[in-house]
Amino acid sequence: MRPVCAETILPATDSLKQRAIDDQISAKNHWLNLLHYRKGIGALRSLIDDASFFLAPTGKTDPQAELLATIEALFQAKEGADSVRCRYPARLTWLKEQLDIPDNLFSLSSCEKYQELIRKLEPTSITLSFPGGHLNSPASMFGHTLVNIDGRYQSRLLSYAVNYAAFTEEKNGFVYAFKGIFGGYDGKFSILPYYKKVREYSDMEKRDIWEYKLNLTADETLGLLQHVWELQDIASDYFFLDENCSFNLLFLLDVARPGLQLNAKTSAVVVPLDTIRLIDAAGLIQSRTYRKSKAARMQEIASGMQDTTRKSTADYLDETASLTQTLEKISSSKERIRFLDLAVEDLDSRFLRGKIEPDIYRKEYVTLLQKRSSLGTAASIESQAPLPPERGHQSSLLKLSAGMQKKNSFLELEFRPLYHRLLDPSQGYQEGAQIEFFNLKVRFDRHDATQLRQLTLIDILSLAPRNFPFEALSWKVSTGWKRRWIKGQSSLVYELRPAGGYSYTLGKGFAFVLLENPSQISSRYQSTLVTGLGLFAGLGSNLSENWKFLLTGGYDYLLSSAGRQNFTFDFSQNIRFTENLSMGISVGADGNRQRFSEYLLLSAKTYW
Amino acid sequence: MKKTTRVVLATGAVLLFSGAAFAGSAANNTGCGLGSQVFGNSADNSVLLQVLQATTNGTSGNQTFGISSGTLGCEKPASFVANERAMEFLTANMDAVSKDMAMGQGESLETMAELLDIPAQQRPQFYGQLQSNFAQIFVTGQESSAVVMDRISSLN
Repeated sequence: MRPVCAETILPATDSLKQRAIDDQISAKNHWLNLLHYRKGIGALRSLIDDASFFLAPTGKTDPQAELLATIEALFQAKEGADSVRCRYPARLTWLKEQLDIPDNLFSLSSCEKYQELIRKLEPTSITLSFPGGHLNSPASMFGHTLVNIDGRYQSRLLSYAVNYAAFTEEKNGFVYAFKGIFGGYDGKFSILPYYKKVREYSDMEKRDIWEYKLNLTADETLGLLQHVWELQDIASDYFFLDENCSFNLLFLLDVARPGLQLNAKTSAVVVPLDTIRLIDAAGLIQSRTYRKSKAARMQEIASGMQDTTRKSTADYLDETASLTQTLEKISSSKERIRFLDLAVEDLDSRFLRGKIEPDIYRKEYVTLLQKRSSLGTAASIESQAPLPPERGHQSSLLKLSAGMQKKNSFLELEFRPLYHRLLDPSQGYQEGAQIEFFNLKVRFDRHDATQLRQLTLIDILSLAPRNFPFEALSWKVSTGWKRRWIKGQSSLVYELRPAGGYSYTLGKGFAFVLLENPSQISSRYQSTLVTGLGLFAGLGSNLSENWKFLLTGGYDYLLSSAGRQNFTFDFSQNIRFTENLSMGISVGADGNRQRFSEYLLLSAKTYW
Repeated sequence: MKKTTRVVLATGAVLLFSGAAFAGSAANNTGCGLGSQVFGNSADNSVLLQVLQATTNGTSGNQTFGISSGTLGCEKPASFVANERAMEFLTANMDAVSKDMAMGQGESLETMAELLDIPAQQRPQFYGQLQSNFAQIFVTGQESSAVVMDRISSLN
């Protein structure tokens, strides 16, 4: 690297600025991406809300002003300009290219902290990490995305995760949801060792993780990291629906490889899975790896156990038998290995949840491991990875049905913007988890009467199987308007239906029983609001890769003056033709003591 | 005890158990051995919060770019075999590494082998050695990462 010497004429910033204006650099996509500009309703503005990110006072809305201020700040030869240059390595590198400034001028070599980051991370390639949903938290079903910077190591644990998240310690659910949706929290980028995230998502939160190695080059990876550096400590309003974790990561990829423009291809609501589909469609995915959660590993060990081992392990886990006693009961070395492997995972899990004191944990952990170490290596359990989530059906559903109810034939249209229900094809989704928002059902009958059947605001179902070794609870929450028959008339009723209960794995399927507390609001009731108790049970299974069924039954007893009892019964099948096209058949009945009507529906379902 | 003392002690306890990014106190090596990664209650257990919580993935903590070594305050091993990266990984992942060592296989164990520059052909032997000598490496469970690393390197 040659030092700056008298013969080299430093370009005056004025001529650089003129060049920038002439070449219309501020209109180029790369500049707009570096500043996170987006065409909203009306003018172009940056999605970044932190004033310290911009060098011009009008930087948030004026890309040209920001460009000129940047040139002024970066290409000064005076003292102290270094600190500004060291803050914006991505802008600096690109503008030097655009303005034909020699590489050796205005270099980043004296930027200590920045160079330390590069030395430590050794940016070589990028892996996209997608922790999926956690079964007992269907709201996590949308998943999360992280961008990992891979260094020179083979081990994925040694990568560094770039994470965009809302910074908050809020514990109140309503405040959390409200602020999350309306931008009440600051979103910031952070970098941390990926092994910390694996420990958090896989071990503590029991979430499976898909890792997608992208085909970004080392130069592109460096470019991405340079831009992340620029975003250090910069806050933007975090909007759960659109400016969320996955959306912001798209800007990083767009900066790394100019021309991708992924951030312009998203829809109004950004679901992490959809961003993975965009990345896939852009041809960036090189390979996929599936990382099982701790819970999935434990389930696998338990399934491989003999019944007697399972019983002995259960006794040990609920502390009715000691370690020595349990080992005596298990004679086969293979079964002892299974028992110890499961016991170790369980102990670790309890410690992570704060259920055991550190000193006791250490003693027990080492005792178990010492015993385990004398038994040798087990054959690793070979299991097929499930279908990757981006290959599952798309998030929105449109269902067109032809049906008959009580001798009246009708057409029904259902629109569900998000996300997945039990009857949707299982591929790529978690079994037993259902989450739907703003489900709309409209019916048109022979006499051209159009009727709103249902508008569900939210419908969440979490069927966590109560099989060994987990003693999970299943639960459900749904609320919205539904058409019911009250006092001889069909009317829309507002309902809230929380429920809790148990679910079990049965062969390839599942069965569940939930106790509900239904509440209904309708002007047709004397007291307007009625509540009561109910039972909701079901049975479902995948009969083959493309064929599944769900049988459900429900009974409500509402404490209204009329002592209302409601019944529902439904037997539905889904036949999957392609990823995003299915056919459905449903028979069922619903009503109450006064009026009970059967129905039959034939449906075409398309997902997009 | 006085109210302020109570508040101070309570705050200290909260910080101790929620500061995953903070190094353990060197005095008693609580952050330098098994069980050093303690998470605060990230996802609240209340059903209501779960129902309404989505991928805001709330994070608390001040270290936004946490690339600094997590072994500040932990003693260093006496042996020269260990490099800083290997020590950093071992200290932060002791539970996973020890588990893999006892089982003779696993991703954390492979990562340690890579960090210690063990050539691929020698790794099966390395894993086997660690497994058969496990009870000499982890005796009480209170060992710090430095002690573990020294014992590992003394095997050769």
